[in-house]
Amino acid sequence: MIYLNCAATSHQRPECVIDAVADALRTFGSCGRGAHESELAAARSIALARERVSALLGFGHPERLVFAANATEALNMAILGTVPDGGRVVATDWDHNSILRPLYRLRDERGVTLSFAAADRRGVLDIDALVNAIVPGTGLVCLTHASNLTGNVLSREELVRVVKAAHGVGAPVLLDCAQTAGARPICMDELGIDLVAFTGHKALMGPQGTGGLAVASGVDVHPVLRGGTGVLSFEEGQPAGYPEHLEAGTLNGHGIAGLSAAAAWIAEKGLDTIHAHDLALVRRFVAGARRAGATVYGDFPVTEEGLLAPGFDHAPVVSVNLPGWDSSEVADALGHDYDIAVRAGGHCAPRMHRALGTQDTGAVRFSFGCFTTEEDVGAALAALAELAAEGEGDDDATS
Amino acid sequence: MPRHRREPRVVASFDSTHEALACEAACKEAGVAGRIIPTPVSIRADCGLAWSMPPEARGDFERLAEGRFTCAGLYELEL
Repeated sequence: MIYLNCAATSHQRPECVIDAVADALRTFGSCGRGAHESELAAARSIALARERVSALLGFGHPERLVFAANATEALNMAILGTVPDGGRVVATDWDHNSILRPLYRLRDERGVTLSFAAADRRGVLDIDALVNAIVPGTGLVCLTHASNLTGNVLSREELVRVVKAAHGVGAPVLLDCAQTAGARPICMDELGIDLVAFTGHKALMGPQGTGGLAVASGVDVHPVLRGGTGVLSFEEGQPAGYPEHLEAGTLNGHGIAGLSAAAAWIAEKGLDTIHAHDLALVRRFVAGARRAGATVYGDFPVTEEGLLAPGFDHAPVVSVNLPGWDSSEVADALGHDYDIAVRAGGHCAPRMHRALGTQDTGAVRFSFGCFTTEEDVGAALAALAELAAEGEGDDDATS
Repeated sequence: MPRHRREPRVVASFDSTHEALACEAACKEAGVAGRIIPTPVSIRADCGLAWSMPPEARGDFERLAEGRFTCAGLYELEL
């Protein structure tokens, strides 16, 4: 099997992650719920995980990195916990339903006004429009670091510009790093980003059921969930101190132990090395998919020679369609006939699909990770070329 | 040689993954031919799982579905 659906989950993980989860299942008590060595082992493991994940995010306050079940939960915490009734939020076409649906809920139930920065047919965001939309009264700016559909990524310069505009009107910036945490440096503190949401099971290669929110010093998030924290049991309200402020209920200590091991593995390998590996695969795949006749969605600037431009940056996500093929049929053929796992459909990114004009066709998404090899990409390209050849002259297939 | 050959299929769509998997389990148990596929875009472009079966399995499938699972629609397609 060739797994090219890493934007959905990592699937292949370092052995140390599996070992850490198994060891935690055998030995851990409950973090913060007692002082026996078994409870302390869980607590120490989670504290270490906060440090390791924070380091990968470029975040210097690990006590303010709170764990959640996934990026969706973290984004809900951030959005529902910062935007006042009747407030205003600026977001973008890149955003996933994990941002969009909480925002639509706020619009429908709490009178919040939403403003979206548009993306063009290459999926490129209009940063000028985004910055201009950040006016006084804006309560939150939601950004997606890399689109889960096109793989387009916000540059450092774009992030700096948006953060400056947001801070100019007192609005915090929330960055959804579901597709980038563990795959490239995030530099949260350096860029002045207020809130970073991450998932633990994609590029971070931890178990599913892990994720979290890093909350910059000075930024408060009103807790949506209330409940036991293991401390201050006689207080009626949620403790004010982090991380308990946003961590009601027993944490997924077993999963977080795996995430911690994965974070250490990634740190040893190096985020820059992983990023370079991913980028090389994207370059090869895009060039090969175009040769096969696929429509490739996203921003892929080329030189006069037709090569991807120097300095080109991208997340390890590329979506395509083949002439004469239904996107779901391509995904099914790749899976059933070639044992290559990809994802078709809407990818929980309705605004991005509309911007690309693929809302009626969907697209076939290929996404790569640390364990994806050049051979894997070569096999996918060979399969795509075969399917493209079969689809030629068969335009009825998409009817 | 291409490995994929299009042929007539009857495809059942579902409103949830749970229903699709309930269909798969029921069909496997009853020996009704077919398999899970991504929902074809020609049915719906917004993801999900569907059940694809040869046309001759349709009768058994429809009899089996009653009371066991709910499909949103049945479509005749070339896949």
